[in-house]
Amino acid sequence: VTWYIDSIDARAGLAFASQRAPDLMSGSGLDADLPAAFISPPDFRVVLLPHRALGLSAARRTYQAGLFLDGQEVAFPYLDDVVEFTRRCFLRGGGGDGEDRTDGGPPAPLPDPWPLLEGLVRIDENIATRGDADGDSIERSYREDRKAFEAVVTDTPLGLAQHVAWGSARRAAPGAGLRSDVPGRHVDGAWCLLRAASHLVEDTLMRVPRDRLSEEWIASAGSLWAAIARLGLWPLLHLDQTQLNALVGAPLSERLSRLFFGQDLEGFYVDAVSWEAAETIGVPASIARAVKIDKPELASLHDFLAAFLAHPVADDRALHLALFAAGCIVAGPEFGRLAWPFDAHLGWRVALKVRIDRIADAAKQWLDAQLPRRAFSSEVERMIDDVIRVRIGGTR
Amino acid sequence: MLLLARGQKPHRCKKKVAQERNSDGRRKRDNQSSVTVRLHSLQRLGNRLSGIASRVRRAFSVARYPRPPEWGERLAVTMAEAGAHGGVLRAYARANRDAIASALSGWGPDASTADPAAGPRVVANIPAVHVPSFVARSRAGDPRPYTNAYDNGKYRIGDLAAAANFPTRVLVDRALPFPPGKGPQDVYFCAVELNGAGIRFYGDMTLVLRSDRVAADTTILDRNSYDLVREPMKTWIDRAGPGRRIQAMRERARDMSGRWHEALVPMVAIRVFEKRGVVARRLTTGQISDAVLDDEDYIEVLRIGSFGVADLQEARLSAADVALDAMTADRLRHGPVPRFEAILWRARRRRAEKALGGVGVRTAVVVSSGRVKS
Repeated sequence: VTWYIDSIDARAGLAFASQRAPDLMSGSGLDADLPAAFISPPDFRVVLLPHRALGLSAARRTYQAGLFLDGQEVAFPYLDDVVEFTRRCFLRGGGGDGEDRTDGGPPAPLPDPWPLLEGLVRIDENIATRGDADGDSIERSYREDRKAFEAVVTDTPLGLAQHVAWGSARRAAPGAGLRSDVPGRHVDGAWCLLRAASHLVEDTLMRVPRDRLSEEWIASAGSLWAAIARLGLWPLLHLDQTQLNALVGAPLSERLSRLFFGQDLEGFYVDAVSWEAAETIGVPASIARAVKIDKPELASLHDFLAAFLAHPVADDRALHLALFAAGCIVAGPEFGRLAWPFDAHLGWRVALKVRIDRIADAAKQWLDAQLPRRAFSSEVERMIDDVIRVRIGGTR
Repeated sequence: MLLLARGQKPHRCKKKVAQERNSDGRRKRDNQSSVTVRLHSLQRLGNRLSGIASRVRRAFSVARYPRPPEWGERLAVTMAEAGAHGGVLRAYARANRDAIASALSGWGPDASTADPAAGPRVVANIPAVHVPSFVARSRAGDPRPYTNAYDNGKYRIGDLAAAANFPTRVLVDRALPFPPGKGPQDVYFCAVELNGAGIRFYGDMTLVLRSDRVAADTTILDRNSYDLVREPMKTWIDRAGPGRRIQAMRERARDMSGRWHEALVPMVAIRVFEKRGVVARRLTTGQISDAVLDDEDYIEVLRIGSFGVADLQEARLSAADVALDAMTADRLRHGPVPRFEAILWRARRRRAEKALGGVGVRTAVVVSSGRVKS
């Protein structure tokens, strides 16, 4: 017998479901004494209830009654599918949280924003390389997995769900016939993190107020500086001072340069910076739009990661940014202090690159474990996408 | 029924028991004559009880539906039935009844004055993710900051219109005793809570309404109104026949309901005795609190009209959720790396607490059902 949702608060990741016929709209009444399952964050473990009354009553509050498409209740083959649907709704909803934030978010958009100058922050490509198309790379691994995910979505009819996996978990599946995705073999980990860092620095520079540096901007820039420092990326990033001078004028340009790039190596020995700081880091609007965030100027790195995890998109820049965010999360507990294996022959930059690659690998593994575990039909996938837009008091 | 005015201290049980012992004006001794007197008294009491009990049974039958007995009268029956099992149980039942009334008046077990912040409250649980917008709507002067199903019509994924009013809800709503001129769209379903963190199934943050923002004639139900479509009530209602189904549901709903100012104490007392039985042991505040709202079994409040932050006494979090938050923070620093769901879940509560704090609403943590810690 199929599972149906009795009620769900999609943004909150709360749902009641029961194993039954689609009876919610039945004129002859429904069986409220059937057992039900309650699903909730953060662990999305199922709590079994002896009846449906609690779930039906929830629809008097913030829950919507049932889940319908074209007038029919949407079926889920297994309870695990409902759990995964609810989990992905919860994550996806996090992508829209920026609209509710009253303070402490990314710097407010400027009335007359600076033009975005790509290439303002360059990567030390002598050290960090992208890797060729056939090599073991994070980009290639993600692209393949993303393509496979899309294919499964296309193949899945409404009312069914199929298991999906990412990274080494997908390649380790029996009969997968795929080249192994061994952590540590990726050649482009540092490059991906540096690309994201350069985009974030460029975006933050473009948000700088014209008249004076606001507290809001300094808090955001400081959070970004600390995040990049924690990952050890600063020595491999270079600012094009000439471009910045031309854009904002010499006095401001020099000040910004000192703020971001004027730190000595001592500055890299930063202790773990709290992830909360990610809520103040803005995301380039074009990347936020790629994950369909409605108001990209309000989206933080935290919001972006939530949206991406629920619905990974085919966009390399989005992958880089997600990897950067994941790197910030794993670097604290696993790479808390920067103590790289210094090797005079290789030079410290190469040693630093090794450490960054390790962080990128850990970040990729963590990311893979958060990405969708079930693919639904394209109609249901669209519903998950929609969670980012719906809100109490909002309009659709 | 024992109703206490605000600030009035109920009698202590020892005093009550002592008064009862001396009520016939002489010292009771365990001799033959006193036993005979007792037997006669018990017989008379038994006859009285049997009369009351049969009246109550008649009142509850489906075939005839006179006005149901008031909650005070129902409590009297419960107390009398307890007394039928002996003087010791009767004395404890009375003492515990007084303790329940005391707890519902805001008195601690050993306090000499009532705590204005304590006592029963109307609460509404809401997921933390919705709290910032609730605060924003309150600040903006929105007439409906806290929303019900009718206000949330567009907060949906999938089809917008479907199931907005599914037939069973319409059926239950038709049965509920709304005030004249008011309908389901005017009602904001809440619960009664004493010291606890509300119904966590409905959200991790408990919005606690100030006691002076609850109208005395607010309708309360001694259980979830959806019990009307569950067994055994469903069968009892169905027996009335298709033509009388709604009427039978209304009668059942009327049985379940009362007014805040007069029904709450006896309703809670009956719940406590039903859950814990009438035993020769004094109740604790925690046991009374647990009976008021026990897991998914709660006293439903049909509040007319929305409310905003100005109507709140405080918000509450459960200790379990706070512990999870702390664990996530610790794992972020020292590992193992937590999942993003835990990080997002924690971030939302921080934002909610911050938004409420910005308008002067404190967030307290419920450390046990008997206590709330600020």
